[in-house]
Amino acid sequence: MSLPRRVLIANRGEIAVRIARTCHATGIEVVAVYTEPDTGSPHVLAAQRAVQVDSYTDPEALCEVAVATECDAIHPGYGFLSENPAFVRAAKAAGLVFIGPPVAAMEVMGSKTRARAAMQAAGVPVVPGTEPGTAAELVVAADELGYPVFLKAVAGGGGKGMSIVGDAEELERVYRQATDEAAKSFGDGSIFLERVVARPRHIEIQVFADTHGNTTALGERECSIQRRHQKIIEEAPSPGVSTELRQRMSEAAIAAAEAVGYVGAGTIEFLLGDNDEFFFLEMNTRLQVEHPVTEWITGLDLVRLQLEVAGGAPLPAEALQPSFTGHAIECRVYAEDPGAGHLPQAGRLMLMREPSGPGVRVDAALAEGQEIGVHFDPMLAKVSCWARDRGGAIARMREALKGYVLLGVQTNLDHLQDVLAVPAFAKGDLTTAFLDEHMSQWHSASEIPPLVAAATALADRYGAARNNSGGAVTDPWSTLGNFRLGGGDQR
Amino acid sequence: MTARTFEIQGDKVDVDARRKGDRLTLEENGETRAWSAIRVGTAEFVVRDDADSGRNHSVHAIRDDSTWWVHVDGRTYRFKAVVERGGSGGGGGSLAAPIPATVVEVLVANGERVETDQVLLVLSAMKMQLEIRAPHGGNVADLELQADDPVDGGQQLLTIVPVEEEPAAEEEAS
Repeated sequence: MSLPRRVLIANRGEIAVRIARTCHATGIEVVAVYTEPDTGSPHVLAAQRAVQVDSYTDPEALCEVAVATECDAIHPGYGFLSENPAFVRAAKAAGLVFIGPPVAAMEVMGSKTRARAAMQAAGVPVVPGTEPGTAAELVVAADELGYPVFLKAVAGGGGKGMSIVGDAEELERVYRQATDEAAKSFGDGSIFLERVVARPRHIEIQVFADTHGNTTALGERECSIQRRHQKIIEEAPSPGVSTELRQRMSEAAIAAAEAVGYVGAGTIEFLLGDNDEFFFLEMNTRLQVEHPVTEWITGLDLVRLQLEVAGGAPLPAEALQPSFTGHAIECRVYAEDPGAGHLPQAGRLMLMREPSGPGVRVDAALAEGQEIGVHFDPMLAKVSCWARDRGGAIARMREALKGYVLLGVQTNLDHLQDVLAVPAFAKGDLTTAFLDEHMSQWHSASEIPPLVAAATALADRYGAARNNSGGAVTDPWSTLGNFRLGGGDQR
Repeated sequence: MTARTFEIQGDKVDVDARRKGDRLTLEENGETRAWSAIRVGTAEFVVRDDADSGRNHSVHAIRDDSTWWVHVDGRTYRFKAVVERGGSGGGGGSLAAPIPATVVEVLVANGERVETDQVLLVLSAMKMQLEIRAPHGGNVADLELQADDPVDGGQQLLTIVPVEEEPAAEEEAS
């Protein structure tokens, strides 16, 4: 086995920090790239070397940096260029190992229509739907499928470029917007229809394949708690998946990966309907945001496995015959206003305290004084918790979120705590409509409790104000070093 | 501490909170609530409710211009500090000595315009010097101290009266 010696991480934020962690622990050197606003960002400081670039999305330029810094491999993380075939080709042309799947597998799975066809050929169930067509053709097809139907852009993904329509008139109207939007956003205006699976769960299977012909499934993740088709809470195992169903879904996921000659870490997303009926949605050909919950219950380091597979090693026995222990939950902390349509929020992070403790993990790349802008994804951090059972994991998560202090930019931390407190959540009664059904009236605190008012007056007295450089705070004590009000014998 | 007005989601709330030693009291509708306060660190406190068998509440509070961000028991509150102009005891503009000390140097005078973070006074306590800086811009008022004066912990040192931005300033500048 030959692990990469030096890896360029073509990403930023928490995932770049997370990948760097495993590299360091594996004796692999890390080269970070950063754009000018990220000069002092945690992911830059987490690397042995760092090179400034103009963009995180220029395949050629990133490969040039990798070659110039004598890297032998590139890890794309998620987002940015992670599912861009041009990046895989550029890496290969530059003599670099791309830590991800072969370009052909990425291309098939990157096209909704090609992926659908490949899955149907491999016997993997897909949601009944249509070929791309004109509005008139789709109206005819929709009558056969039965309303409501999903209108989807062929080139869309990640919740972008899809909408639900209830009748023919609405279909025609939404079609015009959707095709214009898709043409603008993705350069391809093709639209197709899919049957709407009623009250579905979003369940995905983590797969891993090596270059020796082994493909394995590492269990499912329940990702039904979504807002605007984007996940905010994920867990493993799913409270809605039996051992028998897990077996069937795993077999389908392995068949899906093998059908496209997959290598490395990938995720097969399914919609799980009533009667344990499931349908292939799409494959994410990269490391997933929510991979920590799988790491918790399998004890595997998925980034380490990626590095090993990229180095040509076979998957270890622990991955080929995984065992699942306990329960894990992940919450995504976003800079957003959950009471106002989850609008992204900007601000300067003035005060930060991160939770810790047994069974608590925080994946983040935050620092006090950091400017949270609207240029990148508004995800600030991922908190994941493990316990022996689901109830224990929820309890740990509620405590962890309670102890997460992020002041200076609005976040969804309060909202997440309230989602976890919904009785239906504790019961595991989850569907992708959960937030609409249980949280649509939610708003952030609109009253100041007496204790909060008094505490604020106290803080005001001590001048707890942000200073001009935006770092910690203007605090007369900090200029004096450590000493305490009332003398040194209080503790 | 004096009366303050906060504004949350459009509602104004008058707060009459006082601190004496480690006692923190709040007058509300003629009733008094009391806690004891422990300063843990920068912008970080434990407020203990003695009436509730000593229950501890973890508090983080920090201000960005007029916006307060306060985290209490896992919940985040964001609200505005409303500055009452010209009124005595209004606003958050008064500065107090954090500990008993001696004035070493007075760097500003009444009526002087100061900027955020500007050093106003230097105090000496426990053989260390402590700079008192302006938490926000404004005009200095209520300053009656001079070098070598002793000050008590909590004693008001001076007030900074916020100044309205003059609209003419922009035109002059350009």
